[in-house]
Amino acid sequence: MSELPQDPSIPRTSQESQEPQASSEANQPSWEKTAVLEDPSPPAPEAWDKTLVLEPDGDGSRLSLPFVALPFLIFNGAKGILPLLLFLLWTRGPQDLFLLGSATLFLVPAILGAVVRFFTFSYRLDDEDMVIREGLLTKQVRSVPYSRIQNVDLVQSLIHRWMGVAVVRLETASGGKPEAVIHVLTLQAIRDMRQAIASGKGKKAPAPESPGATEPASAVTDDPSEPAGRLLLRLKLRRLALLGLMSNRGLIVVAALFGLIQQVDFFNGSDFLDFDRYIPNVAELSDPERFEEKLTEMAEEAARRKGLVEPEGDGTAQTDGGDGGETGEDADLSERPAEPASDETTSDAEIDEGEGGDVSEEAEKGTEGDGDGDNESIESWLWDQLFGAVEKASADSWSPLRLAITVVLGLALLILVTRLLSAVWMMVTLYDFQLRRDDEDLRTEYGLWTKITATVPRKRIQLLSIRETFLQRKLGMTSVQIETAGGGGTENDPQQGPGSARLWLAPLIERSALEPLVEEVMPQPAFKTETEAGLQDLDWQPLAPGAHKRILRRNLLIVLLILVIALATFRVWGLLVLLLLPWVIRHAKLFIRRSGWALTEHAVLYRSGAWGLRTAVVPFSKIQGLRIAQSPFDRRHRMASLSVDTAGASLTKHRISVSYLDTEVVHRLVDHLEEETARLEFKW
Amino acid sequence: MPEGPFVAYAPTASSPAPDRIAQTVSSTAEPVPETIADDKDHSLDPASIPLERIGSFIGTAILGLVLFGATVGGSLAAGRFWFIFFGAYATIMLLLCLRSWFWPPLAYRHTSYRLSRRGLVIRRGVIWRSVAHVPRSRVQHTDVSQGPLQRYFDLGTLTVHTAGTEFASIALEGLNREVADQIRDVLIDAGEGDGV
Repeated sequence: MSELPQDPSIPRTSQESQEPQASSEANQPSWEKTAVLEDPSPPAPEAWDKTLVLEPDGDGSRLSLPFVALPFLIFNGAKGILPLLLFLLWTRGPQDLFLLGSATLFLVPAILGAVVRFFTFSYRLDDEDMVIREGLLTKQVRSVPYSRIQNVDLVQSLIHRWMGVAVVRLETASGGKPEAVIHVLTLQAIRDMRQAIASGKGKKAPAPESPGATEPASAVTDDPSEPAGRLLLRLKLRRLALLGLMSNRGLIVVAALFGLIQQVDFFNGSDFLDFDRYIPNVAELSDPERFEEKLTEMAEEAARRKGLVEPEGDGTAQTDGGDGGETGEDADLSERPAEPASDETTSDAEIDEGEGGDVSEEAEKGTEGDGDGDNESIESWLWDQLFGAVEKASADSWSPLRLAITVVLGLALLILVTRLLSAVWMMVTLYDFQLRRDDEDLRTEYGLWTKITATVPRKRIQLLSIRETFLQRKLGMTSVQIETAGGGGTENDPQQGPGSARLWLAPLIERSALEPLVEEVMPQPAFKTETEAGLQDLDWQPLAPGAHKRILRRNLLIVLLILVIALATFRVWGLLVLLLLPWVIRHAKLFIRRSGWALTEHAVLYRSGAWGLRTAVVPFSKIQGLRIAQSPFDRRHRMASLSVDTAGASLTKHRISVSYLDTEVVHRLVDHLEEETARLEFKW
Repeated sequence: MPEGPFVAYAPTASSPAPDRIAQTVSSTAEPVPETIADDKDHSLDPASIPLERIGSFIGTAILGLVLFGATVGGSLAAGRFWFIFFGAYATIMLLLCLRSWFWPPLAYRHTSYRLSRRGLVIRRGVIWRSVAHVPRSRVQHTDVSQGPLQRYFDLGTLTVHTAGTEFASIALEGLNREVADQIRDVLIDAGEGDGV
C-alpha cells in the first residue's frame, strides 16, 4: 500500500471490502501505470481511475445510473424532511411562512446531494468483481468480488415497476447494512449485473449472447426477475389469506389505521383550512392568560355536561396544566369547545352496542395520549368527550349483563377485524409468492405494491428455521425461513427489502410438502440419516430428565410473582391469576415432550416449543462456534446449555440454543459437532 | 439413550481419530509446536493476577471518587443522618477492595484454554461458567494486542475473530505475549485462505 501515490491536497478515502492482493494481482499492469503517473501536478478528473490504485483498470466499461434514477434519488434524499414539513404544515398552518420557508431550506442540500450522487455514481462489472465509485469530495471506490456476494435483492414499488426500474441491494457477509444499495437501475442493467454475478465473468460476455438478453420480450417485459428456473412453490391468494387469518399481523394494520384516523380526525376537526377561525385561536394560545381562561371555560363546560358542580377554587388548579402540553395538543384542545355541543350529543346517541368495543378502544387511546395532563379538569373533559357516548346511552339502563355483552361483542369484533386486516396484509405483502430454483440459486419474489425479488445461492444458507404456530400445527401446516449471512435485520421494513438476513422460503405449506422442499433447497440433504429416515422419524434426543421439574418450577415462580403484584393492585381479584396455573403446568409438560435435538449426516437440529413448534437446522459446514454455558442452577442439576453459532444469526432470532441438557450429553455433542465442523471447511 | 446419534454417525465421538482430523488440517500447515497445541488445558500467565488486581483497584478508585462526591452531597442533604451515607460508602468500598484482591486469583483458577488440531477451546467463569469452542477452520483472523500495563507484565490479549454472530470475536486476556503469538501462528496456519 505504501506505493499508493498520495496527493495530500485532495482528501481521498478508498474502501475495498476484501482482498486487495487478489484484485490487484489480476491487474498487474495497472500498478506499473500508477508508478508512471506519479507526478506532482494535480490529477485531471479523468485521471482518477489511473491514480487510484484501488480501482484498477478492469475489462468492463463504466456504467452510470439511468436518468430515470434522478427523481428517485431526489425523493430519497428529501424523504427525511417531508415528515417535518407536513408536521409544520399541520400544526402551525401555512401562515407561518418563516418556519415553512426555513424548513424548505433543508430540502435544498438534500436535492443537491441527490444530484451530485447521481452524477458521481458509477459502477463497473469486471471479470471477478464489481467496482462501485461514488462521492464528489470524498471519493469512494469499492470493489465487491462476485464470489463474496451473498444475495442480490430487488425492491420495486408500484412507481418503480411502472417506470421499469428497481432498487438493487447487494449483500456481502459484512453484516449490518447491505454492501451496496443502488437507487435505481433499469431492468436491463440489472439483468446484466445478475449475469455478471452469476457467471463471475462480468461484461466480457457480451450481453446479446447471454440467454436472458436474447429473450425477445426482455426489452418490454416488466418482470425484472426473468423467471428462470424451476418453480418450487407458489402460494395462492387463498393460502395467503389463511396465513393472515392465523397470524396477528392485523394488529400492525390496526395501529397504522388508528394513527391515520387520528390524523384525519385532527385534520377535519380542527377546521384546519378555516383561517378566520384559526388565527384568533392561535392568538389565544400565544397569550398565556387567555389560554388559562380557555382552560377554565373548557373545564366548566365539561363539568356542566357531566352534571357535576365544580368547586369554586378549581379555576386556580387548572392553570398548571397550561405549560405542559405540546403545540399540537393545545391547538386541538382549544378548538373543540368552539364546536356546537349539540353535534356531539346527536352523534353520541347513534352509538349502539356493536360499536362499544371501538369506543372503549378509542378511550384507551385517548387516556394514553394525554399522559402529561395532570390537570383534573382537562382529564374530565377528555373523559367526557370519550365516554360521553357510553354514559349518555346507558344512564338509565346499563345493567352489568349488558356491559358484559357489549364487551364480549366488542372484543369479538375487534378480533374479527384484526384477523381480516391481517389476511389483507398478507395478501398484499406476499402477493403471488413464488419460490424458484435456478440451478444453484434460489429466488423468491412477492408483493402486490412493492415487489421484492431476492436471490440467494443455495450454498449460502446458514440456517433453516421451520416454525409452526399452534393453529398451523393443528392444521398440519408449517412455515420455513432461511437465514443468510448478508445484511442485518430490517425485517419489517418493506422499503428496505426482504428481511435481508432472513427470508421466507415458504410462508405456509403443508407439513407433508416440507421435507421435499427442504431437500430441494439445501445443498446437502439436511434430514438424511443412515437409516434414510425423514424429518418425522428422526431420532430426537430429549432434554435432561430433570428438565421438566426445573421448567415447572420456573413457570410457577413467574406465576407467583404475577400473583403478588396482582394481589397488591387488585386485592382479592388478583387471585384470578391462579387461573394461569393449569396452563403453566401444561406448558412445562408439553415443552419437555416436544423439545429435543437430533443429528443427521450433515446437520444438527433443535426443536422447541410447547404449543407451537420451532425447528432450527444448521448444517455442520455452517457452524462457526460452539458454546457451553452453565449457570449455578445448571451446575446443581448437572445440566448445561449449548448454543451453536452461525454467521448472520441475530441473537434475538431463532437459532440453536439448547438449555437443560445433561452435562455429559453436552460434552459428547460438542465433541461430535466440533469434529464434524473441523472436518469441513467453511465456504461462504 | 442419548448415545444413539453418536453411535450412528460418529465413530470418533468417544475416541478422536487423528487420521481423520489430519485430513482437515491443510497439508501445507507447519508442524504445530508441541508445546501449545497439545490438546491440554493451560492456565493463563500467573502474572495476569497482579495485572487484574491493579486494573481492578484502578477501577475501584475511580468509582470511589465518583461515589465520594455523591456521598458528601447525600450526607449534606440528610442532615442528622449523614453518617448513614458514609457508612454505606465505607462498606461498598471495602467490598470492592476485597473483590479486587480476591477475585482475580479465583478467576485465574477458572480460566483455561486448550489448543488442538481441531481448534481453540476457552473455558472461563467462576459462577456462570462457559466453554467456547472455536474450530480452527472457522477462524477468520486473529489479533494480539498489548496495553501499557500488559506491556509491563509482558502479557498480551489474543482476539480470535470468526464469521459467527455470538463469537464474532472472542478475547483471551492475560496470556504471555509469546504464547499469544504462538497461538496466533497456529491458528493462522490452519486458515489456509478459505476465508471471506
